[in-house]
Amino acid sequence: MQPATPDFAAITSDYSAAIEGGSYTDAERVVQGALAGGASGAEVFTRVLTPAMYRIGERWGRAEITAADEHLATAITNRIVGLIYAELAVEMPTSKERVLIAAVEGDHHVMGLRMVADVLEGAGYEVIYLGADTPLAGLIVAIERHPPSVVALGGTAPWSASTLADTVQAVRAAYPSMPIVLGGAQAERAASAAADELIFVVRDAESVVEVVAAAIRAGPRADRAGR
Amino acid sequence: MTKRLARPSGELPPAYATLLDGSKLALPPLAAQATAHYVEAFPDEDERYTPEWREWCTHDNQHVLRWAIDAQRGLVDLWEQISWLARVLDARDYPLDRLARSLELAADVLDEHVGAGVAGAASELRAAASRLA
Repeated sequence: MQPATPDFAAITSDYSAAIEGGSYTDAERVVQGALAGGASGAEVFTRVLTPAMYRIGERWGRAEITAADEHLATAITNRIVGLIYAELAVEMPTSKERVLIAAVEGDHHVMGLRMVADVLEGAGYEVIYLGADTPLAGLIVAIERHPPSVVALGGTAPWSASTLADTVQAVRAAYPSMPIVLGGAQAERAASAAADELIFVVRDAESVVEVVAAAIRAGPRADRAGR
Repeated sequence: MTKRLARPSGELPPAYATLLDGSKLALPPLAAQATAHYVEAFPDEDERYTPEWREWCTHDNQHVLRWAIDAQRGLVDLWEQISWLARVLDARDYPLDRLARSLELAADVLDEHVGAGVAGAASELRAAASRLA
């Protein structure tokens, strides 16, 4: 007998109600229930937390909630992301290659980036997570210091597509064969502008393992300095 | 009645834009200039809002200028962004004809202070203003 598929629409509705009501306890109960019901951590990231946070952003746009309400929902969801991390550790840590992850300069939207980093760690990748607003010069130094098999860059702010495109250009100039994975709302536009066969786009946390594996397969081994 | 505003908080607006030739253009002075023109055009804003509105105006102008210049590179759909901003402002009872005028003033600043390298951006801003009006 097949296990029942979790009802993600209902779970998302409950999760939205919890964070819009400002209750971490309720949010945790909803997520624990989803995980106990067979949802994977990556599915909860992609099908519950992400749409619930989009809904928060839309409600702020319509002036239905305040910036403080939005911050509260974000803070709760950041704690929940940490909670789910424990559920993701399924493979031997660092059994796979190294992925260096950063949000581009000026971009502070890192919730999705954190989800992606956690899913990759859970799948056994060694993750070097630089977090928000990474200065370009610092990113290049970090790539040199922690030579990765793949660089993953996030750009979500509505003006980040150009920063993402400029960052790709700079990384490409320094590392001509480095596979680069782009994520976030601006990834598609930046990837189109780059027109580079070693650029990959990840759309959500559920697909990141597959995308990173494809990027690693595409990258020449000779470019993996020090690995 | 004067509407009380908080100062802009959270993520800072973009400080520069990259032009087609790869050079960087500092946005804060241009945004401040656009705000100065807006103050002249709508002196009654000081009665409608507490003084923080000028900081918001410059903050939003930095975003608008960046979107317009990035649109020249095909990296932003300017109308998509302006539509979003219009929805946000409309929900807060800000008159959209003033947003349209603000876009025209930002275009004027690009023409006056930067010139040919951003002609496409200025033109896109004026087109967006026409669609809003």
